[in-house]
Amino acid sequence: MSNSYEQLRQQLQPLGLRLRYRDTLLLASRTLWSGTIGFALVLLAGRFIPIHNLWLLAVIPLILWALAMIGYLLARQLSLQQVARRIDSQMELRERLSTAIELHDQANHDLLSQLQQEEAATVAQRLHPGQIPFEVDRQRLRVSMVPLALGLALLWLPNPQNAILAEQRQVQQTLAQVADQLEQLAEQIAQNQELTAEERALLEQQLAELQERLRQNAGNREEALADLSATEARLQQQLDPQTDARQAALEQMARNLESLSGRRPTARPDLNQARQQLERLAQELDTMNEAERETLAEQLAQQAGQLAASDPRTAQSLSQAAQALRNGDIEQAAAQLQQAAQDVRNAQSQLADQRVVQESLAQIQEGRQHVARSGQQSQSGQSGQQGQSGQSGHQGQSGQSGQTGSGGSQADHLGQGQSDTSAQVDPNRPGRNGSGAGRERSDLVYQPYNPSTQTGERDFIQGQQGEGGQTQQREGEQALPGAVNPSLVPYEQIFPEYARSASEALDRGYIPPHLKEYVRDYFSQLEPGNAP
Amino acid sequence: MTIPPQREPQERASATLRMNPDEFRQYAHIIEAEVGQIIVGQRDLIRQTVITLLAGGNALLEGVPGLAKTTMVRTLADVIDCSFSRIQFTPDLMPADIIGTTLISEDEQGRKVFRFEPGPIFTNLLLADEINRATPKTQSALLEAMQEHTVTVAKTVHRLRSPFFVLATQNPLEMEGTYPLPEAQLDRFFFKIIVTFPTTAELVEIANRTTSARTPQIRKVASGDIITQMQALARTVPIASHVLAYAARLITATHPESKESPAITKQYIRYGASPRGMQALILASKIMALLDGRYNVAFTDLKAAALPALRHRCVLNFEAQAEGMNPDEVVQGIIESVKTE
Repeated sequence: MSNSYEQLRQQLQPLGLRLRYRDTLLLASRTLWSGTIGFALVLLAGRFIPIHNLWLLAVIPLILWALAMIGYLLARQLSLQQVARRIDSQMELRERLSTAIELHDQANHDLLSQLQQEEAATVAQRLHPGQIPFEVDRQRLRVSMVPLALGLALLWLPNPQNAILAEQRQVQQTLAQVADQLEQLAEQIAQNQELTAEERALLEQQLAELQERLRQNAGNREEALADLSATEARLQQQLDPQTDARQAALEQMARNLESLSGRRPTARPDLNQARQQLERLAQELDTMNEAERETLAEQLAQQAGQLAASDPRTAQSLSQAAQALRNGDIEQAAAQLQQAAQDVRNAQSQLADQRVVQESLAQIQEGRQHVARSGQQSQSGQSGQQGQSGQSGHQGQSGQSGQTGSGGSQADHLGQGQSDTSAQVDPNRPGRNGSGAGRERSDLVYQPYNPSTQTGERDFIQGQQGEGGQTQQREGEQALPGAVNPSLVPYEQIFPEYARSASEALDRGYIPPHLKEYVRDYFSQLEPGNAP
Repeated sequence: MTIPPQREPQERASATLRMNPDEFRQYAHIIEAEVGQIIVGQRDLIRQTVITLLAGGNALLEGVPGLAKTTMVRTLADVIDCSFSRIQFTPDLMPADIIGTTLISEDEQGRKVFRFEPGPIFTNLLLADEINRATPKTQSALLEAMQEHTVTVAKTVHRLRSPFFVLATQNPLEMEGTYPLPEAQLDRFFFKIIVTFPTTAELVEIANRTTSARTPQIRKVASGDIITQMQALARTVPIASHVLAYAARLITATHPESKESPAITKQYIRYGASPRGMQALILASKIMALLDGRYNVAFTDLKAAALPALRHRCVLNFEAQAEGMNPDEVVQGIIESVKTE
């Protein structure tokens, strides 16, 4: 009897393996739809939202399904009794095998039990795995093919999101480059000994924060432009609009002092020499005669007048020195000249700070232009390749960011391209189709009505030069929407606010998705320095 | 077909299980064949009657008059060489007419003594003809005999001969002058066998056999002792636990209050089968397996035995009667709804 059971067990083992394969195949045919639907859904989603590595993501449901099937095959262990029952049912053996297995387990030794087990073993001898056919659920298999075919069709058809993904990749690369440039700038600032420690720390912090945000950006151009614009706006606030005038006035004062000492004035006078000249004059006052003092007082007063608008402190010191000389108070005059020399020293440091701020500003502006341009050219190129008469790549852009070494004068031009929307634009020749309208930094521009600045903060705007060489500085009122006033605001100072407002509107969905490109293009064209 | 050699009486008495399955099958087939010489067609009737006999149960044969029910029972008694009694049930039949009565008689010394005079029930094969024509009181006189194989009269228990086998016939209930058998009585019948009307070809054969001068001769191919051995062997047929569980599920499915019962049960059945029904189901399946040459019970055996074993144990409700459903349709519906695994 034990021999019969052993024969039966040996016969059932390969049959059990066959049943596992059969069950797995059947389950696979019944559940394939879950994987193919996942595959199709991911690809479908990739048509509406940009998804990186879409193909890889789409096959994940299929891979998970396949893993589940493999797991099922490995985990589906059938006991000998289960195999016997399945074979009995499958091959219509009238429960011979399962009864024999159970009788062996019960150790039943009566006549019929023995006969039954022997008969079961004999029947099992005639069985082989090939008699168990594999089975698939054809109906569900056909259903599974529908999403699979849909997914493959979606893969084969061109995906409009690919252009966006390419743009994002390009933007990300550009952001990395900009971040690298900002890092180099930060290193230069750290090594610049002319800067005050406070100013250096502030700049380093701002640049570091910007770098971090740019590196974390996953290719979102609007967000990057907003970050750049925000930092730019903060730097703009640190920028003194009188810097150039102050520099020019101090240089003029230095030239005058060189003339006074009998030397030939240089084109680029050194402010250190001007400071030393003031100190020397303070020491030489005792040796001057009355006429020389009168002449010196006259010249100092004239210098004070020229400096009054741009450097009031130095001007005041010079003016008081001149007044003291006229009054014959030599000590007071010498003290005021020493004070003026100290003021020039302070002005030198402040001018150095402003130069670094301007350099940083220029660097950020340049980066913003690169970011604004990045992706658009490739997009327009792609649209040209696809033959779509499109809405992208129609703007002409060219930017020049001029910057002189110490003066920091900038001439930013912006080219605003307007092209026929049906026309294809060669991305390698930007701006050809546009009619450019250059903007100087002192052009009259409309300052937008910004409710967020209504409370507290006020803008101080340089006033027009008054009569008699006097400069008036007046507090400007907040411009209301539509108001036309004679205030002069540098264009580069106003633009970031527009760009930030536009970025926020883009981020918050105020602008319909199909118009976002227009808005983005528009502000890219308005970038300072985008001159034709 | 040859009759297996009979063993010596002492040999048979010492080991009731000496009969092997092949002999069992041979005897059963010979009995069927011999009965088949007299009864034309009706193979299911003969097979189910033999199964009931080998299971040690009692059968209720239902059919219109004239379908050879009585002839078959008489023939069966002749074939297995057993004593045979026939009781024609009538409305005025009394229980004592069946089981016997106590009489006053004189013994050898001339003293008056009570003597039990056995009734026709003291036999091997009892044909209770048209059982539903007797009153329930008389019908109930068979209860103890059918279940316990004993008769109790005046505090004295009288054991019936072995084998004891009641074959009751009844006319369809809708016929006039019938008393429906009580549920307790019905439950004691192992099988309820429906005797169908013969086909045209069978009718021709019946005419040929019964209206000619030649009368078929039947042989006595078995005995009461052989039947007892066959009954003993049938009970040893193994049945796997999952097959047994299926039988239990079938019985449970006949109960409308069960959560596992199918919709057809809840709709048409008032009372389901008793555990006695399950015993009948399994025992019949075991005999069917042996007759089929197998040594184990299969699902197909249970399904084949379910109709005769359960049709009289499932009491239909008013809705079933109103819709003209018969028990066979309901039981068939239950068989189809209960899964084997």
